[in-house]
Amino acid sequence: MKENPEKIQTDVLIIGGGSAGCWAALKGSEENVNVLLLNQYPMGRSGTTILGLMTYQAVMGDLGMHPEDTEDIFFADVVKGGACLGDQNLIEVMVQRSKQTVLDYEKLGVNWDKVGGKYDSAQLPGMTHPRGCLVDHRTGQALQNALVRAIKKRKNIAYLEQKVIKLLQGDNRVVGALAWHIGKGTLTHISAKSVVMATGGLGRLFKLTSMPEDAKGDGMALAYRAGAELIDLEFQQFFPGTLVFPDFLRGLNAPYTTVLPLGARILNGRGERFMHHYFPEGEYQTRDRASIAYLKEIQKGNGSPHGGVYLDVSRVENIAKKFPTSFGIYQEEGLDLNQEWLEIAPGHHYSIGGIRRNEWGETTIPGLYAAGEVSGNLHGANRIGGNALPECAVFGQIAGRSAALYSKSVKEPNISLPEVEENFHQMDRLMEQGKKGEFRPSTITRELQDLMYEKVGVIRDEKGLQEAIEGIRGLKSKTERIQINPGRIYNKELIDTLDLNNMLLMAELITVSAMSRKESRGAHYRADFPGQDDQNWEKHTVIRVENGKMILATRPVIKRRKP
Amino acid sequence: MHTSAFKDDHHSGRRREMMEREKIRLKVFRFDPTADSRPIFQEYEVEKSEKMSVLSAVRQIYENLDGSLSFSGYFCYRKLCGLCQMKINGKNRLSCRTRVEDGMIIEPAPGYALIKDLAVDFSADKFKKS
Repeated sequence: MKENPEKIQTDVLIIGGGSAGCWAALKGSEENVNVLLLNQYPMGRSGTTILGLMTYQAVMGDLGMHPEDTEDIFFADVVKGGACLGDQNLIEVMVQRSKQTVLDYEKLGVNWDKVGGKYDSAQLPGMTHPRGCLVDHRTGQALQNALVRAIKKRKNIAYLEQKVIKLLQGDNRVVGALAWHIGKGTLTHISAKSVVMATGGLGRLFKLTSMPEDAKGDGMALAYRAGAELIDLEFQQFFPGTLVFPDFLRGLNAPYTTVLPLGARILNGRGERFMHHYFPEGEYQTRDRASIAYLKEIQKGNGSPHGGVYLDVSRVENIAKKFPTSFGIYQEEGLDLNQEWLEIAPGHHYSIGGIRRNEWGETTIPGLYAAGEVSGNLHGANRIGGNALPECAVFGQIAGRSAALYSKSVKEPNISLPEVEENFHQMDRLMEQGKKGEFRPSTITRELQDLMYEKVGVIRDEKGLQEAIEGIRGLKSKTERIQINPGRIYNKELIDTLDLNNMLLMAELITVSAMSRKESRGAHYRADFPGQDDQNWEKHTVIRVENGKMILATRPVIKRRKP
Repeated sequence: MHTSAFKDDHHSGRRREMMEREKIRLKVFRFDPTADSRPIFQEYEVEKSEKMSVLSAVRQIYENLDGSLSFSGYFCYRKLCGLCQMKINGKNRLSCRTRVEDGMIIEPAPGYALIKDLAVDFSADKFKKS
């Protein structure tokens, strides 16, 4: 690139504009520092928060309809739901603060559903009491809109729509990032005293997912390359009721647990009930158990035409009216749920593992903080429904404040210009090489998604994981001959190539972690080690890179009190 | 027994296979402000599958036929984000919820600044830029 890089200076850089990033920006700005919020696609209209239709777990006490619920019960639910693998210092913080975040959202203008002035709440599997607060079946979107409104009012928060491609380091800390403007095709050097990573998960590593297009694990990959420790990557949650057909609804979640008690049925491709072959108690199962049974039935050759099983809701009365966002949508699209069965299969739903951080949002490298789905060690081996949104608010607030306070304690970072320029040349070299390439980034991406779903999805074993490692390495070598169309402006093949490099790295790290855990627990199911092994495996796996070498280890779970 | 429109048997399976192979032609707006003096409509032939959306067809063009085509990189598929908006046969539509048909003309969403091809600046209307 001929022109000099644009340089921007800020105190705190926040990467990701979902609810974790927005809260980090708001709380950071309250410490009277300058905050720069970066999001690769239009903020408020991208990310994962807007897709959270349903519940927000909080113990509302006398303000709610279930005063018998307590923080201790909530704490025990999360510990148990995560098969005792969540760090309890983090669980404690979320449990204690989620109610306050409900009230914080209200101050921003969110109208929570209330009955007679009390917060209404729904119950999902894993909750002992109903404690999932709601906003008109569009909870996530309501929260995101309120956050964006609040951010626009803050004078010391700047917003840029750019894609971060590298974290910059100097003086043994993170000192900013390099970002690519997708629309303009230019690079920006952002100098920052601290950085909050809030980029979300990595559902798009798998061919079927309810996660949006930008959930590609970039934040985890960037942090790993900078030396941060990632934790529990083998735990990837699949939602069994993910639509595989029709095409325009693929990836949507049908909340099967809500409708099973109302007369819905799960059927195989031949129209037969089959769940009792796997579980004597039948169809009502948690996400991890249902996913395994559906996939086993599909692998037996008893799947539906598009590779799923059927969800028959024809016997549920007024389903579209009762569940406007989750089932009404099909009627809007001209599907008659009295006549047609939905085709569902397990789809990736949530990245449980991620960047390791403590209760202050600090990662293992100075100046770098993490919050939301990009981080790990909170939920343990499985996340119970309704905990993703409070996690983002609680830990987004904490990470934002911590990063702001840290920024006051350090000097303006000093990074040598040649290092920055070298990165700019790398971008040019990538585009130059791409002109002569032969493999399309979208083809390699699809191959990776198929491979990960097949070998590192719901059911895993040593042989499959080994094949996955070999497959991922094969795809990596293909990227050396990747084809990138020329042109800087909105070059999708260039963006896909950058994403693919992150996805391939994360795929390898997930697979290596899954290979190391020789037991089954929560969302990690090994067909060759089907039992839970508390004696040897009630601990985290952690993975980091040092001098170019991948280092895999384990860590004890942080305990606080007996659940 | 309850019958399903999706339920497969030997004959309907074969019928669907034939349907899935149906080829359709689409005209897509192309314009790169750094290279072109004016826009053109480029025609592509894509394989139409059952109940396929315009967005899927556009993706198929990008993935299988022409990697130089630009359009948004984010979609929610739930009518929440609006970033799949395109002008389809002259009307502003969500491309993820519009069924694709032979001969459709696909243009960028109206009312937003054009970046390239089908990619427009969706952010300008809602947010300040630093």
